[in-house]
Amino acid sequence: MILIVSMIKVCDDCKFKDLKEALKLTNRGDTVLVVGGKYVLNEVIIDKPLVLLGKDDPVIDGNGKYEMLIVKSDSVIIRGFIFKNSGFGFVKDYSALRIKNCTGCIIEGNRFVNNMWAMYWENSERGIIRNNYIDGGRIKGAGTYSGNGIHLWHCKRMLIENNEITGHRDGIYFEFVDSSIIRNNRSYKNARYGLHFMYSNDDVYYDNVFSGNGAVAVMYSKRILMFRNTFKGHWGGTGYGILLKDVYNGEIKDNLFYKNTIGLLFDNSHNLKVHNNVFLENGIAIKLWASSTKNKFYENDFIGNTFDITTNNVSPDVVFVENYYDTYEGYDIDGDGFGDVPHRLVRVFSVLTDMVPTLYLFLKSPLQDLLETLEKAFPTIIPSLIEDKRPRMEIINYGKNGKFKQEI
Amino acid sequence: MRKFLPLTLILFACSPKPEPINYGKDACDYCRMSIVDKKFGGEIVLKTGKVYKFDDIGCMINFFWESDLSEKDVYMFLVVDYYTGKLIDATKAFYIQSDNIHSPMAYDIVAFEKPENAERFIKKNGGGLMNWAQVNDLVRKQSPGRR
Repeated sequence: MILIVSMIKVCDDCKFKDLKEALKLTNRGDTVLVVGGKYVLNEVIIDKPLVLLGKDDPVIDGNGKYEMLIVKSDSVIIRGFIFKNSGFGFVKDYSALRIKNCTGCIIEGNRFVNNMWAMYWENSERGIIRNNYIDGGRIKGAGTYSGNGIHLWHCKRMLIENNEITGHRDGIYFEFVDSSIIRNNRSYKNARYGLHFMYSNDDVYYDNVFSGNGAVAVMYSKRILMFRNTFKGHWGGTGYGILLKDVYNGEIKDNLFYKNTIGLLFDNSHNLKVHNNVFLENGIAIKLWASSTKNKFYENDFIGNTFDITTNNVSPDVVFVENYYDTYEGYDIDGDGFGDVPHRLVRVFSVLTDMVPTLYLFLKSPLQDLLETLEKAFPTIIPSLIEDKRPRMEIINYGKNGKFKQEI
Repeated sequence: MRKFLPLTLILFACSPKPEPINYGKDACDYCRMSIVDKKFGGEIVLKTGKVYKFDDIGCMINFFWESDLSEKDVYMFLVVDYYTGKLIDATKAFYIQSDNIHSPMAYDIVAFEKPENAERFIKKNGGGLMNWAQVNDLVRKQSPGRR
């Protein structure tokens, strides 16, 4: 079989001046090279494998009214374009680029600016989303009308790397997405979540930086691995480093949680291993709801948090062991690197504030000191005694080999 | 008169009334997600004045049936009208579940105040019309992420 492919060039002085017309004349496997210019597209469909190359920043514009480009074929590559000004609707969801039923599509090196959704993938697999800059630009409207930056629905085996996403509702959104990788992305100042998993299994995300979003939310998902990420500056009543809701069998390791209202929230989440993380200067490092069971926390650093652990009650199978706490006041006479007396994790004041939030007014007041001292002498209020029997005397992860410090 | 001011305030605080959803700020009382989408939410107002807010009609129904609350405790169930975004009486609304709807928790149910709007939606997107009792039965049979 002889495969004949051709290259079609589109620019202001070329034979083809209109991208839409040029696309109509393509055959399977052709390359369309677009040099500069601005092209207003309204639901233009790509239904065969093509390579779309943009040179000198060609703009695909939705004029604030349209969904621009819809890919309905396998093996489409789109590189080097600026997608901007998609439509905005209360009922209809407009996406600058929509990809349907596609295997092996690659979207890389594009800029998406002022779109409702930037990318909306449906029923696709083995796609790559790489090196894109995505700015919803509407953070001031609290993103309630805005859609997500990278939105995946019913996909699998996807790779999402080196993207920068800001100003959308969720930076990266996974719903029914399995066996996929998210790495090296920066997702910041999105109105709801930097990264959001719903009903997605067997995924991994690592080396990402999430900052100033509402949170990162991992919900109703199984076997998610989360490592070497930074979660910082998630402030507010719903501000979490990671919100875990109905999550099973995951692992959280080597992450930095810095200056979040709550670093990790466990709600009905089970069988997670949390280790070698640094919890630095959070309001509450870890909040454990009683509905969460069989979680194990070891070799983490707790430094400068207002409270390390708060809980409404704890199931007996929760394990904290060999973590470092800067609030530990014990001693190590035998010199094995571990404290000789257990470290009580839940402080009486955090139990009280959980019941009566207004008590936060007395945070760091003499009243708090008095209560803590009394509780230490005569333990009565703390409901269940969770303790770390082997607290470390020295910091384990933070600053070792320069680790974590560069992120602050 | 001034003497009675605190008393009136207390009475005010206790009289139940719906509260607008503060999008982007309020979190769902069932699934904990912050509520941002203005098409799918709901609210339960108790007779005590306590208000629970939800990002998905399915969350609201599951919350109610899994809680210790009974219908006697509830002053009002409210849902968001898909067309206007207003909070309407949930017990009198018309409901549609369709695969062409993507709601935050994937129950994929929308509510309408006016039946003609619901009919128009069905013509375009498919799905069948349900009342409050039927949509309660439907949600209770499904777990989140029904697909």
